Amino acid sequence: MKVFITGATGFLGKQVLNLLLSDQRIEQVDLVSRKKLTHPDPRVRVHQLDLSEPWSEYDFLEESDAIIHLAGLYDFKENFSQNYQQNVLPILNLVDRVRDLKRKPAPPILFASTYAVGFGGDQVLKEEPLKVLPPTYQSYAYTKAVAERALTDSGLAAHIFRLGILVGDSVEGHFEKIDGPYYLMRFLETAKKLPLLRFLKRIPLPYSPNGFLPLVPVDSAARIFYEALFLPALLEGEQHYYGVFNPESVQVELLGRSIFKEFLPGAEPRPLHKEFPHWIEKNQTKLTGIPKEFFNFSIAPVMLENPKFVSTFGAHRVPHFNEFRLTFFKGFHRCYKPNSAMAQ
Amino acid sequence: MLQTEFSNGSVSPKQKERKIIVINFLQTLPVREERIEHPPLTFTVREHSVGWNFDAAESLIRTYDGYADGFAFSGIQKHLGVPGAYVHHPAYLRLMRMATKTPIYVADDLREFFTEWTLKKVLLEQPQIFFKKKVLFQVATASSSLGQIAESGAEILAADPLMISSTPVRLHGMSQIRLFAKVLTPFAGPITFNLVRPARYSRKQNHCSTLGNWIKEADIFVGFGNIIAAMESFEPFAGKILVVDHVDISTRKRLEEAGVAQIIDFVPESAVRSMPESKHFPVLAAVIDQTRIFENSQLGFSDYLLRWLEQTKVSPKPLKTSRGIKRRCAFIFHALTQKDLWTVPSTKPFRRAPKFIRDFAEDALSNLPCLYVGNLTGVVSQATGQEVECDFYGFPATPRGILAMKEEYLYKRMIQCAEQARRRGAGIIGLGAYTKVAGDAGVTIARKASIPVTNGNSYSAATTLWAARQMVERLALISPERVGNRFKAKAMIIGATGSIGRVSSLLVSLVFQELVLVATRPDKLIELREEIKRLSPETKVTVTTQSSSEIMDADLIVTATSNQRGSVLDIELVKPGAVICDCSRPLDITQEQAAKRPDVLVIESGEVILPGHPKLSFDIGLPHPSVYACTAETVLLALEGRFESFSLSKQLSLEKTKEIYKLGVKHGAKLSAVQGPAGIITDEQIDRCRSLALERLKTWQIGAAS
Repeated sequence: MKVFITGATGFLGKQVLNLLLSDQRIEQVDLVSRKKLTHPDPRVRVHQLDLSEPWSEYDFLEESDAIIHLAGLYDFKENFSQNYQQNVLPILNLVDRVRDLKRKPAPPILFASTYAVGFGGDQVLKEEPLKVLPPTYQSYAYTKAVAERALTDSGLAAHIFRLGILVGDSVEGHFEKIDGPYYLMRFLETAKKLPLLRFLKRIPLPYSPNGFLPLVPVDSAARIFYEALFLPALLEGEQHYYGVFNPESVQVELLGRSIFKEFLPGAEPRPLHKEFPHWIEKNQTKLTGIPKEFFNFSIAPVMLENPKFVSTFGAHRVPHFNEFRLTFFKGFHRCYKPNSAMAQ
Repeated sequence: MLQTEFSNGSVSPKQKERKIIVINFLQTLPVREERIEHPPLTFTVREHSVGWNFDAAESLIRTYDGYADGFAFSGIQKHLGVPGAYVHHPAYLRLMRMATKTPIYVADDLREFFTEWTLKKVLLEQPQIFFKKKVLFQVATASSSLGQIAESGAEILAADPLMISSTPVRLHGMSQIRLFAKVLTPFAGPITFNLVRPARYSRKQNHCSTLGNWIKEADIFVGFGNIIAAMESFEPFAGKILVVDHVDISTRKRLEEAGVAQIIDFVPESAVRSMPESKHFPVLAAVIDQTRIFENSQLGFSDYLLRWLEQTKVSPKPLKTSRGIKRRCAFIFHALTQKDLWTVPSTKPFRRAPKFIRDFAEDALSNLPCLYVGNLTGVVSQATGQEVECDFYGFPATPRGILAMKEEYLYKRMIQCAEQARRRGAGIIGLGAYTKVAGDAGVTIARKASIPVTNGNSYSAATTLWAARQMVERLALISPERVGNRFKAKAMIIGATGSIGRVSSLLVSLVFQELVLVATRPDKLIELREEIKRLSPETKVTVTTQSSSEIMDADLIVTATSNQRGSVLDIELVKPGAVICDCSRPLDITQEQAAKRPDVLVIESGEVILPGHPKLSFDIGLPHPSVYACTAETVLLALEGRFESFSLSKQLSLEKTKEIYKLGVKHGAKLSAVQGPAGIITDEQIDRCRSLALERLKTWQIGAAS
């Protein structure tokens, strides 16, 4: 099998690539990079091109049996323009190239959709085509949703994986970037040095205690993509949606208390159900470094439903937080260096 | 002059597959793709919604410059303002400079062109549509229709401060708009445009409610399809006329469900199949210009556009009447006798009062304003399905009171009534009975009233003659033979050279083979005879100044005199079984005269049953569901959407009489009761008249009747 993978140098992409290369059934892996790169494995071909550039040539696609599209921008701080450029244009170009292929049926696209991360609101994350777009001021969520809709509207055969909040792998807890719950961990790690916080018993945080945060170890997510390559072939235009998460992992209250216990023993998070006024929200980001999107999922948690994923890949494919809690914290302590770029 | 923004050539002029990138600044939609066939070219149109983010638009232009064949901007204009005070959009200028290889189409000029064309057509069909109406502009300084609508006599209101800077201030009139634009020019140019994000405001609760209240107070709303589509509630649009640059199918449906009276949009009848309606103008400009480039035409864009329009026969959309959306009209009537005044519960005690008190009360009442009396509902056109509701206003005065009134005072009262009707949503008002007899029959009222006025004379004349013809046919005393379409019978018009007489003569000449015209002025008679000869060459026309010589063998006599000095004909001389159609006011034939000849049928007017299931909420003195012809004229004009002063003055026009008759036939109006001097003519009366006439005809000798 010949696979074309985008975003192979990213957090999830690296894990997927390793899994592909560990399987001898994979004859060839094409990956793209803006820089000129090489890979030691002879089965890997690196093509230097920019996915958002409409002129780019994808000749190698004629040979591909499947496309794994993981590339995209993942930074809440980036502006709308960057998000649009990095999240929407690549999928549009990819769709155009697949349509142009002389070979029929066209290879299926396995797409990592993460619009729900940073969206929040009173939503239900169902395994069906997206109908309502997030507002444009939520640039990340909006552009990711637009990208997913572009693939849906293209009518190409696709598996669309709606990933939960990616965290470090379940074995080592290794992660690459401060993100999701790591923001809170970083904040507490820094704040515990402040004398004032030592005396605070309850620290107010905007979250609803009953919600669930769909934490997904990156290795679990990668395995799903890898296994999806061997699912029965899709018919032309067939599209499937999967919610890649454990719907019960993890309750916001439990996660919050676990993090506080680990980083600020003696203090407890105090849930604030109502949304912060905009000026507080803005200033808290400046003060704590926690982007407002972090709280979207916890203030008004998204209802999580993924029967299709469970029936296709089996129950408990994404472990519960309790199963990787220790490695999760261990990973943070190992990877987070106060003076590194992560601390910024 | 029409110009495209950038049309110096495309990347590959001979390529038949063209790519257009639409950048939508207002909406937040998924990326949409459409294909447009415009032989010999095929266009792939891909729309990106950037939600007023100019950096994103800039990066899209940078990415696709040279790759796409055209950029079409939607939801943005080159500038805001009014002539003499324009604010150019700095971000727009930046974007225009960004594209170096691919042309950018904003199509302001094309939009203006179609706006002007469509409005001209609308004003031709409904000249009074904007006249004295409160027209609210969503953003007047960005509207291409402002000048034309202002020139049509509209009362201009604008929500610019609300839409641009969130300030709940409404501008009144062109001078305030001009002042606002001037203030905007030097100080707020670049800053204001950062605030202008109309779609954002259109969703904000307080903005929506303020704008909603303003829309409710206006008669017509002029807006932008993109911004209107983003509004959450369309409830304020109920009963309003909406003028928009474009409106997509789903928004149109929502608006119609909300009860919008009429939607006027500037998107023409498309000559390009599958053209996306909501992005019509910029994409249309791109399609036309790309075709021009492909053909390597030497013509500039504006000349090529003219050729394209000629070839494709594109024209503005016709005005549509929408089923289920009611139109309103109004009608003024008054008490015909003093007795009628005492039918109202509050005036009933006067019935038994002494005469001097009654007269005093009559005079006092005639100074009261018009009162809303009731309405006519359920009138639905058979042809279009359009529904009309007519409000009735009672003028508490008798003919004596009206004729005694100073004309200026009467006009003032009528104008006040028209204003009252307008506030209730009427688009036209009809004058009934003596309200049109006194003074200049509606001319002054129409000039000063806030809505068009009609006196109903055209349809009254048409239905009276219609009734006369029907009575002649019902009596069946004339020869059944026909000459062409004409009865082989004789008709006489007394007072033929007057306004009603002339129109009656022309119309009757189309139905009767022989016509006798009677009038006092021979020169006018000869003139009319020539006119009839031109209209109906087959009709035999005799002219005379004396009616008695020809009256004895006339089967139909139409009297249309302004005779004040007694009878114009001797009823004893009239042929048995003849129909006398008395169009004169005051009447030529009195009740007593008519009673002398039961073998002659005297009719005064034809009443009408309107189409649908008409229901009057009060008694107008006619058998249900008949209405007076003058009322029917008002309703028919509303059914047709002809909100214009149709019949004015005492002069009748043949064209208008024919036209309103045809409108009646089109919408399904039927003749019902026929009125005689003693009231409604019954079937029994007709049968009795016929038998008596047959009896008398046995001994009837022309020239020996007396």
